[in-house]
Amino acid sequence: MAKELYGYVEAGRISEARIRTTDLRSELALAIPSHKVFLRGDLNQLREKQIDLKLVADGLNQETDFLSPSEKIRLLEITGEILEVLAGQTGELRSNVEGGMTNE
Amino acid sequence: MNEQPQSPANRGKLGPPPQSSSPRKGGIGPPPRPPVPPAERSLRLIGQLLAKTKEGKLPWTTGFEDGQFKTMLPDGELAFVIQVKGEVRKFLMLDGRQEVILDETVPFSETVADNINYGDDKREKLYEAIGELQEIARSQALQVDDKLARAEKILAAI
Repeated sequence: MAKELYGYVEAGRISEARIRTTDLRSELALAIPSHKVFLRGDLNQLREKQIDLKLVADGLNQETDFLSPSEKIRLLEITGEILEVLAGQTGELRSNVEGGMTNE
Repeated sequence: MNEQPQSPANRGKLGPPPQSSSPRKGGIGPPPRPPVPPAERSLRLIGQLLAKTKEGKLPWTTGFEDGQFKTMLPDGELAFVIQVKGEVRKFLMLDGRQEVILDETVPFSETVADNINYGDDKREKLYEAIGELQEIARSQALQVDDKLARAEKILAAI
């Protein structure tokens, strides 16, 4: 979903980005508590991203389809960083699983 | 619709009102403390945030909108957002679920009106305090001092 949001922002499709921001917020809100134990050091980073998404959602809701150039860049950065954190998590989990498998 | 003007002391949104406490069971306890007006509580919080920021104990980062900065307390559960947008200044506190616990939105016009209508300068003080904190948060988040020093160094070397 973060990837999808990134694509919408990049393409300037702000109304779709608005919907995806809300979806991503809900998804993170559900995922973080249930994966807390795996997130460890990334937990605070993801919590910060949740705050970012809240501010994005509020910002997008009040100003129809207008974003200043710097706001657009920030939105790309925020979604990009979420992708990075999640990708890092997936990579770490995969190597843990693979490591576990080879150890057996 | 005739909307009564809200008294300055009650402006600023706090989260849900505190639950009324259950009736005391016998004994004489201290009388309940009167609630602190939101503007005063916000001023106190901004004062603490200013002090900790000046001590370098609170890292600020850019928010999404222009002129918006945020910081998370070390517990990772509570966050503050500060914003200056034209003549409107905002101070928010969010909890771990990004629920708004405190929302102070202070337009400049409101501070003038409060001064004239009620002789109350709390909103004006709050407006100024938000501006002061936003300036320090901005300077820290954008590493203004470092960048200015670097520019001076580069210019001197040309």
